[in-house]
Amino acid sequence: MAEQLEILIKGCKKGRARSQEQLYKLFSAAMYGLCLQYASDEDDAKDILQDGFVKVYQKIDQVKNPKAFPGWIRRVMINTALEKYRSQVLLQRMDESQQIWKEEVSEDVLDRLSAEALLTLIKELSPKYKMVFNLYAIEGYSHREIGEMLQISEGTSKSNLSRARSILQEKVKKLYGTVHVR
Amino acid sequence: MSKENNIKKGLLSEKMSSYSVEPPEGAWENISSTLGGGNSRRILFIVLAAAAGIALALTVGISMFDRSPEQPFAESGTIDKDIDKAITAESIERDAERIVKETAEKKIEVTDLEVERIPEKAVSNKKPSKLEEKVLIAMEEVIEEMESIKMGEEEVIIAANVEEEQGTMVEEEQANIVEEEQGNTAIDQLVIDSVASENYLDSLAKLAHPDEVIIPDISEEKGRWQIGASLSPTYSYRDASSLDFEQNQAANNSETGLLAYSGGVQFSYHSSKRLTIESGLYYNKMGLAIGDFDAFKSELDFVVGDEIYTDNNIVSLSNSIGSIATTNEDVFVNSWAGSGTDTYNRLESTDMVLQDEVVNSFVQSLAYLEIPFNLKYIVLDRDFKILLIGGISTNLLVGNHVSANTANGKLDYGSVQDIKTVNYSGNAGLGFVYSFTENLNLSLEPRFRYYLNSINNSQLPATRPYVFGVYTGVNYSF
Repeated sequence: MAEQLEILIKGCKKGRARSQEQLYKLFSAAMYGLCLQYASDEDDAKDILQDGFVKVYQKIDQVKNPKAFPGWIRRVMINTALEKYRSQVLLQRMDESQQIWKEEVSEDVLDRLSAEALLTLIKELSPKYKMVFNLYAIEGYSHREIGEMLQISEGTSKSNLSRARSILQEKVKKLYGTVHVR
Repeated sequence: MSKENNIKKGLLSEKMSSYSVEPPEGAWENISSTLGGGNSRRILFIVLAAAAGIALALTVGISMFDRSPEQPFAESGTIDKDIDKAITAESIERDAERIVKETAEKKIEVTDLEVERIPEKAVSNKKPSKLEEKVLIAMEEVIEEMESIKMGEEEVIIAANVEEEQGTMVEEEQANIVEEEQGNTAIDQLVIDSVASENYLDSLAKLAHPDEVIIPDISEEKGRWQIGASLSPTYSYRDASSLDFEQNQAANNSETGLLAYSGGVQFSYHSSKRLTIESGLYYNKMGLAIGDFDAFKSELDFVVGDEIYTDNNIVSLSNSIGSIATTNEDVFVNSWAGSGTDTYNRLESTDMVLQDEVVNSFVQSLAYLEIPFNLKYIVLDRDFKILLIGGISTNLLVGNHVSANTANGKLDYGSVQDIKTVNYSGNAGLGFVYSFTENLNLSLEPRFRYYLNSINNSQLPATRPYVFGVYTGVNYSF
């Protein structure tokens, strides 16, 4: 796998269309799944995917180690989604003194859902909650890092995450009936 | 990504990281058209490559036409060989169906076909490792996904991909279109193989668990050959520390290093990502310039063997390497090991005259064929590489010449006697390599070579030459 990937990356660095297409075929499904998490709808996800892949081919010279490529392409897609989010949404900076959601929400409930069901719920979140939830709960960024990415404070990131979890939990309850939250 | 949160990543993260959906139709076409704008040079290249391909195809076709009918076309060409290697769409579809069926039954049985394609670890009866379990789980997820995706008439995605690739390949090969670069065929085959085999599933498993699946560093496994040629100006001198103090002082006063050149071809093998073994064949010129020497005129008849010479030059060359045997019958020379010291007292100091020209200096040139065995270690592995070089060389004496420099040019004078024809040297150096294409690189290598043995025979004081050169070379990797 690594050898094939290395060859494809080298081909892409040289601008070979066939290598670009093969790389797209190899990663497009996973990346489209990722884009759907961040997009408001499928058209939006398609736009992110297209813009993201164009960036991937334009910046592929940065990839020195094929091992790092899967992580790198994922990061490019997320950054593309964030850029789109920033351009579309007027960020509402929350006052630090605003209420921070304190309740602890177990992720067990969310863990039990299938990826498709979870995606459906995430898509219904407002953009600011969706972004923070994806970046924190799925990608594993810290609130400080998310704050820098979204140009919001760390506290706002925490409160948005808490709110996102709360909303998701409510939706799960409505859709799937009573759930036991630890 | 912070470590703290990395630990927190759990099932939710894993689940969503592995989530994949086939993108809508037309996405690739949009990307391709966006990328297409800056590819005018590439189009030109493709046109030229196609023209070259047609010419090559005609050449190959004509040569094929002349073959005897008994020899099947498939045996001589690579096309059928490649097609044989390629996995057919039918076979993949058949395999995929069987895997789906077996997965549904929650057991994986190993058939002869799978033995060829599945690594040994997967075939063994041992309990699979966590990594293998994850790969198998990912495979099941993929298979489930394959079942859920309708493409045409129940075609699974793998079969569809392979068929598409194979169709493209066969069309291209039937048209005898040579790929834009040799590597393209290999790339296509590799991609087809990867898509059609468990590698594709591995890749999806990797996407599913990007932090946990370790892709082996293939650069450690593959070997690459390199050939090249290099040339260097050199500065050579000698270590004559075995001479006694006075001799050494006299030698150092009269002798100076020689500027010469070295050049040759080298080939090397990359035994690992950072280590390269190099050999080759170099022609090296080296030697000494002897500027300060004493010439004497014999007051008496000078006897050499049975011959009596009168009014001849006798030259004492402060020569640290060996006795110089002159081809000029008018001159007799003593080296450090010469036996004429007592004679000097009876001689009158004079200018050294050769063919009516006053000799200003002598140049003692030795030429060697060098066969190196060097190890190169890559310290910095980028497009611009830095290497450490070390090794030994065998040096075969192929040239031995002494010339006398006069105001009107060089005169042949003779050669050095009593020097060894096979010598060994130790090599050390640095390498700076810049790859300006995938296969071509330019190298600059300052190297130091020190002779491990004395190059003269044991009756003379030991003399070990050393050479410093900056080799500039061009290398081709394959």
